[in-house]
Amino acid sequence: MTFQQILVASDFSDSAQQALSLAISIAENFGSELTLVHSWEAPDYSYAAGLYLPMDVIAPIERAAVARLEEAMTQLRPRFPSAKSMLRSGIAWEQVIDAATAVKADLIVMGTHGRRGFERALLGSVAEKVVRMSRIPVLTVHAGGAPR
Amino acid sequence: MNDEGECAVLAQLAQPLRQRRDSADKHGDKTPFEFNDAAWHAWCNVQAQEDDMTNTPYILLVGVDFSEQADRALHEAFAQASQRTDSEVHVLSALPVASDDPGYAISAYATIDERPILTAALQKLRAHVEQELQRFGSAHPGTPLTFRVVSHAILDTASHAIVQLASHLGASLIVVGTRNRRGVERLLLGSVAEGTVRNARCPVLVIPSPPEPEPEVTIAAPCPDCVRARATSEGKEFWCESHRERHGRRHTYHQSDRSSSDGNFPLVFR
Repeated sequence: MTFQQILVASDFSDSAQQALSLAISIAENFGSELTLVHSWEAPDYSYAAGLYLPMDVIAPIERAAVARLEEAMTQLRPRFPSAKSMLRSGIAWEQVIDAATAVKADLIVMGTHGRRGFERALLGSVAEKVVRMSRIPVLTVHAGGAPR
Repeated sequence: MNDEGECAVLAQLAQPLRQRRDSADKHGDKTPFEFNDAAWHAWCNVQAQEDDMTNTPYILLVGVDFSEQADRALHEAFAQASQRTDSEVHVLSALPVASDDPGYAISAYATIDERPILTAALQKLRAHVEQELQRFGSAHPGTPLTFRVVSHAILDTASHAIVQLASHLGASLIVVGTRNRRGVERLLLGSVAEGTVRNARCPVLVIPSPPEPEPEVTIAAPCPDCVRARATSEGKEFWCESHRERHGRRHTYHQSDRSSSDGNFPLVFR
């Protein structure tokens, strides 16, 4: 019942930061290992450009993702020295579940935006998809905190 | 709840909760939360302290529908609660609302009293939770069961009831189980877990059901009659007498049979 290997999926938003804090407290409680995973996605230009996909469109995005993850890790190290990080690219929910399998995680912790109505229809929730598809427990954290 | 002796214990244990409720009322927060809908389980070395309000307990809320998945969530909540010294596990059973029922119009006129329904549901839930606590205790003999358990029965949609009660209690964590529904089943039956994750303001721990074993595909051995028929006819006949009906006549296309004059002439059937 104790969680040995915790995977924190982060998009560096407020809710993701809260999820990370919660994951750290759980990891300290259970003495478990922590992996921070971030997934970035290249915009799909393939319709316009065909095979001539300009590589320097993707490279800055990847560099930015690496920088953000490194920044997050430098903030994380003092709080949790043994934390590991993982950068992935592709569809976020797929990558989160893939990463969980890769590190043999027994808990996924992630933030959720809790969008509603029109916003919800346009921007699907990654957390929702992960909750649906995951075979291991998922802990979701909402940024809002107090009820509206 | 009707038990006199237990009632006294319950009243004593309920003090902190009642105080919390009262303080909520004082702040003008009109809570539909009825204390009578909650009953405390006396369990192990439970000691109600007067100053319980000062150090806030770790409050877990579990949604339960008496399914196997819900029991997994319940056990997980017990495990989480036993990690801390001062924790409460609130177990909620949500009953479908009358307005969800096609017979609502009739029942509304009949002015059905909800109390007996809630009391019956609460009793069922309490018996179930007691049983699960025993099971948890025997499954984890070393674990100290020092947490308190409270049962709730609420007439509401499941996800709304969970999130609302979590808000009223100021819960630190919600634990829910989920069935891994796929395809059409998923479209028809909304997930309680999903609604909870969307609406809850506190962290939600979703416990999935274990993966179902792949259904075994059995491939039958080839029909011996057919094999014999193929051998005797040297490949001209595929099927035996009994299978010929099912498979239609064998036919072969020949590229050379295309009419040279018309390129689009259909393939000739023999």
